[in-house]
Amino acid sequence: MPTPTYIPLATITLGSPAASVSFGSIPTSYRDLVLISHAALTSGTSAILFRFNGDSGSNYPSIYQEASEVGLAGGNINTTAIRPSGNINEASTEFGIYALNIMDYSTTDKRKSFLLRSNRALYSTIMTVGRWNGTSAVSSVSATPNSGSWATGSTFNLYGIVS
Amino acid sequence: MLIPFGTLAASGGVVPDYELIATTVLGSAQNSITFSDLGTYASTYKHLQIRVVARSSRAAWVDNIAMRLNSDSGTNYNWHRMWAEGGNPRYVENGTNRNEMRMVGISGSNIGNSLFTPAITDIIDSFSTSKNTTIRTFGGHAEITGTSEISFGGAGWRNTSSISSITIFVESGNNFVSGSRFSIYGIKG
Repeated sequence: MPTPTYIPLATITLGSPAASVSFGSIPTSYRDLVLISHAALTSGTSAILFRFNGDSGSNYPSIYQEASEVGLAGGNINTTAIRPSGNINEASTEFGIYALNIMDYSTTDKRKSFLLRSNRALYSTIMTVGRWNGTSAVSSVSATPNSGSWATGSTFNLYGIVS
Repeated sequence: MLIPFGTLAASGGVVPDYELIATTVLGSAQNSITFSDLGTYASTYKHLQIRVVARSSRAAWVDNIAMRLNSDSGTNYNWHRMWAEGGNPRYVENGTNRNEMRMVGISGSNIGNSLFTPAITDIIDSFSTSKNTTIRTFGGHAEITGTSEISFGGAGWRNTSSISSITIFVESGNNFVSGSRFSIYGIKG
């Protein structure tokens, strides 16, 4: 019997610039999480950092493939956060789309896998897959520019996909 | 990847457009899984999405998995994909007149740390009887010390039949390990 799923859990819409956004106290009752971000920086250039449970250690090995105006690039990286390769260089009116799938986020017998699609209209499209080394359930997800702030109007939508 | 947001109903609730049909989590190793009786949903859903988190028993870094529709094992499939492996960002491969649609390479037993590979497959217009069925898959895994792979590809089944069953299997003949998960969702349109 079909079960309604893809449940909106929380939405953050910035009425003013913010250094970071975070979703906490995520219930463990879903199968996967999906974080859809439509965001821009106030100014400048910065990498975007997605983290789980506040973990800022080198626990996010990933591989990416990027197509941009300068060509095709890719490789392995192991960093202190999930990051679309390279930097975003969005002015406050140019928003990028970031769709992050966190699979089996509430299990405690697997390291967490994620899929990320990043689209920055002025520059590139990037796909990234990787894992978080933790086996704990993901109880919080944060999105932070490595420098600078999220611009007013940036939105972050967290969904739970029913098990 | 489809991103269905649903529709806010007048009451303030969310009308479900994306519904779980079934989930299988393997309690023991096996080569394949099948979602059957999907024709039951032909009048309800327009598209299907399959979400996989899986690992192979093969003694290798990676093992390819594939899909067949309606138990068709004839040479009725074409597929192509692009992928990055390790530090090399530019591999492409394709299959013509094949017996299956390759989806993605999943982690094998040479990769430690309980690493399972995620993948999402979208099947657009799954129940149409005027189009050949097409799919797209995005997936991969990352390992610090072993081979990592990221893959994005498309495939087609040269048959206009409505989908009645979907089989996902390990091409090498090895098994999905216990704990591998396969979920299928129906999407209204």
